[in-house]
Amino acid sequence: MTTRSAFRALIRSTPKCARVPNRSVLSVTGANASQFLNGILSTTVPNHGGFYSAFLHAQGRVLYDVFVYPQQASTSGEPGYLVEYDPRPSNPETPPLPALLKRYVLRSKVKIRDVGTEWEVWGAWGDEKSRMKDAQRKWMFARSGAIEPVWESSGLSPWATTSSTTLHDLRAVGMGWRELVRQGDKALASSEHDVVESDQYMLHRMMRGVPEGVEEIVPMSAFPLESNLDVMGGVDFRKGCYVGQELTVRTYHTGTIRKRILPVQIFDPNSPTPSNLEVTDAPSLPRGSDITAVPIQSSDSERIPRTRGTSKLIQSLNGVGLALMRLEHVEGVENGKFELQIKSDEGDLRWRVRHWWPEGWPEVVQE
Amino acid sequence: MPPFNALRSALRAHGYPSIQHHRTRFLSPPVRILRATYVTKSQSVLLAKPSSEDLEEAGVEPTVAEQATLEITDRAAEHLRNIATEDSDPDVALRIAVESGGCHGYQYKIELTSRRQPDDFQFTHPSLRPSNIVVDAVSLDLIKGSTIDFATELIGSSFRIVDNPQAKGSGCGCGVSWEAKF
Repeated sequence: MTTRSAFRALIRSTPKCARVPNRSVLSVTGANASQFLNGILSTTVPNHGGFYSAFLHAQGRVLYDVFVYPQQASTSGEPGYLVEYDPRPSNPETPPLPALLKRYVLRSKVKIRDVGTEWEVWGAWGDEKSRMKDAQRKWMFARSGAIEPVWESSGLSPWATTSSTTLHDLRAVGMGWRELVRQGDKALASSEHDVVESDQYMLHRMMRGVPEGVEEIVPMSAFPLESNLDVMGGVDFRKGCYVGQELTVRTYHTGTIRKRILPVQIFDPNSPTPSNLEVTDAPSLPRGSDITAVPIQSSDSERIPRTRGTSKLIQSLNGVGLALMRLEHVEGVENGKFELQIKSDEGDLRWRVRHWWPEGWPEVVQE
Repeated sequence: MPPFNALRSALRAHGYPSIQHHRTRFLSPPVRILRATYVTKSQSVLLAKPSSEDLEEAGVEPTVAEQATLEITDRAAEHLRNIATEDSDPDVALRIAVESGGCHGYQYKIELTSRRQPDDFQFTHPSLRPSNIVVDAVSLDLIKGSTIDFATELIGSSFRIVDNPQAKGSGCGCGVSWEAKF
């Protein structure tokens, strides 16, 4: 145990970077490019700098979570953007992002090109400089349970850095940096960060409660607030119309968020409940596995509380995962009334599950 | 006694018809019935269409020309004819365009114009003329088969695009934008 924690402390202290798998890039250029993106993205396109955002469906479900990097076309002087997204096909009703964007072009002066083969996406974290940025984050709360980060910045996007291909990754505290790297070039971050495997990035991301891509934010099915897009700064509730705005803003003002994606630890039922979210040798469980809240038998003849519905595991690796948790279950577990379980495919053996409120998230304020 | 029944018997005691009766009288949609029953419409006539070069210039598939149809209601055609008479301009036309925007993705833009663009399709009512409607090739793909109507209402009268076969559901709550089927 001591060696393991010593090892972990060592890992924590060294800044790391890794290639982010399953990402592609579209170029959106032309005189109307900013206006075009502003009409269909869930955040306001800032005058300067890149940002994180999402394309929603008219009925308020998420289609794609994206990072947007502004580019100045050197010759024409027209605005241009690189849009980084997960290109993997998900379900047949979901249009691929290039097709989705082309539907909205109509007569606006916008060109859309697939430049996925020209770029790689990298993430870097654990350095002192990104921690300083994290300290500037303030929070705002809505009655529905929506949580928004607030940044003091005048005009410039808080995500922006001095490089047009590097962004602060502000989706959660400790996420660090996001970088577009020309195919064949070395990531800028690799000079000061140790290069590690992509799996390490995934673990780092999941531990901070950050879902990403079509496996975790399932197109046409995931809701933006349940998928933490509010906490991650991917939704602007004060912006005017954009596709999917009506339902999202109505939920913000009059709804209640009943589910959220949270990091979870998956562990053997015979071992004690872990006191830290940590990497183990537990196998990856199937995505979509049901997580049930089972009442804990108490000695006094207290009425056994009932639970409704199930939470869902949406990703897991080495005992760490992300789950779409019913907040009702989360509360029950925190009050010591339930424990969370996953049935394995082989039969009766069940895995225990423990949720974690991500480090750096604000305490929930219930009105 | 449940409050609803109490209310019902109180009303009956004062000579009012039953609540059931009120409900059917007030919740029926009179406007919709009017439109379905009394508004006559005709298949419009295509007066002019862009050349295949113009369509290529606009970046539109040439097949759009084969499906260039619009329905036009008599009252819409009459209103257009009145505008043409008032302006003494037989070329005046209603320009209908589709723009991206709003919370459901698309919205209509309707304006009067006297100028036809190279990629415009021009329609008219078969008998009530002049009643020009122009639609650019890109927009036509999203409104073909729709009915152009002129609705007169207490709070304002306006041209409307109704029964668009490309539109899905009822659009956004404020009625500004609509969602397309793909």
